[in-house]
Amino acid sequence: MLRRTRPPRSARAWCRALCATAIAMLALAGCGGSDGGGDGGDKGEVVITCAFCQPSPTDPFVQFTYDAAQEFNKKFKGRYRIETIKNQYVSTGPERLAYYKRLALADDLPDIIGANGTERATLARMGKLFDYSKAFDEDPAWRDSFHESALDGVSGDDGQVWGIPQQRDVIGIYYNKRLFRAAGVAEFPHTWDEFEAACEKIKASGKACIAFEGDWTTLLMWANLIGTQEGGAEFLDSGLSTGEYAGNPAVVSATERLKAWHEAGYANKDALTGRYEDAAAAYVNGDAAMVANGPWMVPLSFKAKGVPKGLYEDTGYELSPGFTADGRGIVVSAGGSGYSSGAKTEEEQEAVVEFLKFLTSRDKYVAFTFATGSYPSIKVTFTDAEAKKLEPLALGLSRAADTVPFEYKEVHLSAPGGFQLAWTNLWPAYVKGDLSTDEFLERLGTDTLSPTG
Amino acid sequence: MERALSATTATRETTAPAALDLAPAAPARARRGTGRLPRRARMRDAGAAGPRPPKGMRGAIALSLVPGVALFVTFFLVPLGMLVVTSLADWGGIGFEYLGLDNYSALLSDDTFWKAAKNTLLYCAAGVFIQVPLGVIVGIMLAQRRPGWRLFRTIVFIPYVISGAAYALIFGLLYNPRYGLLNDAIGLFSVEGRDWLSSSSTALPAIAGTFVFIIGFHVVLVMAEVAAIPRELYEAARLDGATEWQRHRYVTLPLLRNVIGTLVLITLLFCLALFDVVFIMTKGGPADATATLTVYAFRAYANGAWGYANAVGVVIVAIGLLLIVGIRRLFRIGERTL
Repeated sequence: MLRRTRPPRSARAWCRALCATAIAMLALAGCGGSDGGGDGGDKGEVVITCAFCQPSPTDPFVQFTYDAAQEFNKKFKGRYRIETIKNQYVSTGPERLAYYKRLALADDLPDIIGANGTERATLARMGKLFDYSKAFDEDPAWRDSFHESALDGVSGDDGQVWGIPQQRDVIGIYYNKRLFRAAGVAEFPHTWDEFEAACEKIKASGKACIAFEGDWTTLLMWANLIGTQEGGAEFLDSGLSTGEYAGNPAVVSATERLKAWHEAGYANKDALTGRYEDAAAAYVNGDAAMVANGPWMVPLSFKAKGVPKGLYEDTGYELSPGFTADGRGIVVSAGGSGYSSGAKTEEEQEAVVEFLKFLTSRDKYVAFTFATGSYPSIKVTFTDAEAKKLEPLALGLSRAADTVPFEYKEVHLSAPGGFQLAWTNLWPAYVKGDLSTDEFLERLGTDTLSPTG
Repeated sequence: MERALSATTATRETTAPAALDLAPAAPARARRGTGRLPRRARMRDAGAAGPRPPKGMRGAIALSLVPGVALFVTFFLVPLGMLVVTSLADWGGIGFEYLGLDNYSALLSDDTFWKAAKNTLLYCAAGVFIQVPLGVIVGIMLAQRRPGWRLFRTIVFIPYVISGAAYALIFGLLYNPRYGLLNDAIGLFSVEGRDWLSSSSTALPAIAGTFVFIIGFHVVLVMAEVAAIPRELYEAARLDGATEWQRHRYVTLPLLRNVIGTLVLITLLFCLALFDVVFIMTKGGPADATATLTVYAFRAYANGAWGYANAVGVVIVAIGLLLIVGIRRLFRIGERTL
């Protein structure tokens, strides 16, 4: 009988060491593995990656793009295919730019991303963005299908086109007609003085006049207060990027007035948390009578499951008051969000353009309006049948906006990247009286442009 | 009581030579007790090194170290090197301009940096002077295994497994001035509610309040250490007439030195890296009242000043190293207690 002998101790040790090395190498190799994006796929099929196409129960824009990508994949099967990249920063925020920069540095920017103005500018400076201008030159009809104001927001200084604009929205103020009636306010105020008089009555009825959170909705009202003054629209267009806010009389008066509303008790108690949900909840729950926001709030908040019965029916949507009755205004958000691309090869770029033409076709963008409540960046004349299906609140405001004397940009469209962090850091301290108006605006400007703002 | 203490000392004295005996090649000079042990012998005594491996094994041992070293180099040394190199440059993904120490001098002259450093220190103080003592006291109490200790241990430990981000959201709701439970609770005592996170005076304590009571890890570690203390020491102390308080004061606490030191170190390193709770709840505001060094670094990072952000990162790493060395020495972590 053969007797099996154990290998010598040193040999066993060598064996263990080699196994451990092999496992470690495999682990390291795994770390550098592909995420599945890129040029793989069936022979002849161009595969592109999309970091703005994923199922999302909370973001109808992302969900819409995901659904469109699935349709595109079916329609162009064998020719093009879109692979979805799960992007935890898919919704805009300070972290998303850093994420895109990391990918760009690794030369791994997805073929389709959702990007705002700051992100586009940064990635374009890095030389990582595909310029759509050639595609527009080859298909002028596609280019002409967009609103000029939407294209302005995505265009570079030398005629480059760094993104395909997603939407063009007018942003007004929602108000609760039932709470207005209960407070004895007959109609939505047309001037800021009337607005404050209405707020006094609403406050006396035990409700907050307007919902804020210290960030998005607060900045919309800041923009309204600035934009309805002479020179305000220019500041919101080009002045924000200078960081020089303290010397601008329109900005000073708007800032002080907005603060005074908080001091007077017009705002909800949690108006400084920095969480949009708090402002939305204050309005939806009937604790506040007004909130500034875009048309997407209707499907997301007023028609969502679980909202108080009758909220939608009680809600009206209006232009901003002005300093005179015929000086009302509206915030326009156009060319902010858009579809940019990190596609490198001609085949990938061609596939991206094909998808975006598909996505921005009239039929798809009518569906976009139905799905998101937002208005498309392309020029669309809705048929009567389509108009009947459109959200009446948004449609009404969109039509009213055609004749409004003051039209101005939403703050994030032209503010430098550091503005939002600086604002959310300083605004609560200013409202609580820790900073004077001069100190607040000085620091806001400085911090916006400083690396640690 | 003195006898109890002498019993402790005696046990330590009888244990220590046994540990020394484990070292087969202790130098004669050391065995004779004629002077300080050479470095290698001291390390061996501390259990840091064993006998030299046989010659035939050395190659295999060296090879077996390769995976660990490769991982260490790839995931620690290289990133650390990049952190240091890029901290000396104006770099944000676009271009790379060498600046020398400009980033460091800029941050040292920035008031916000010092405010963030002060806040970090305050969070650390809250951790060391509230969280650690609380964890030690509760740990010692639970180690007595009084009725219900298992249930209580579970209750105390559960918060530890909840992520910081979830905590931030939960406490954000708790502190909310419109519908938060905290204002409702103090309202029962006719105390007016506050906007806890938006006021400069209350925001920092409110954030510290989210983590100083998470003592599950501390409790479990202390319980494990208490369980390892020989019962004879307590018996001896009891025979000497020591009260329960005296037994804990003179027996338990001195023998917990190692674990308390470890807890202090872990708590300090946690506070030094505190980010998620602060960023989610206040983003460092109002007016930097809650900003930490990591939030300060993140702002620079989010604003594209990656070189500057990395300079802050180097400062954080340096403070961490100092803490590790200082606390290890202060508490003599790693040295035998018994």
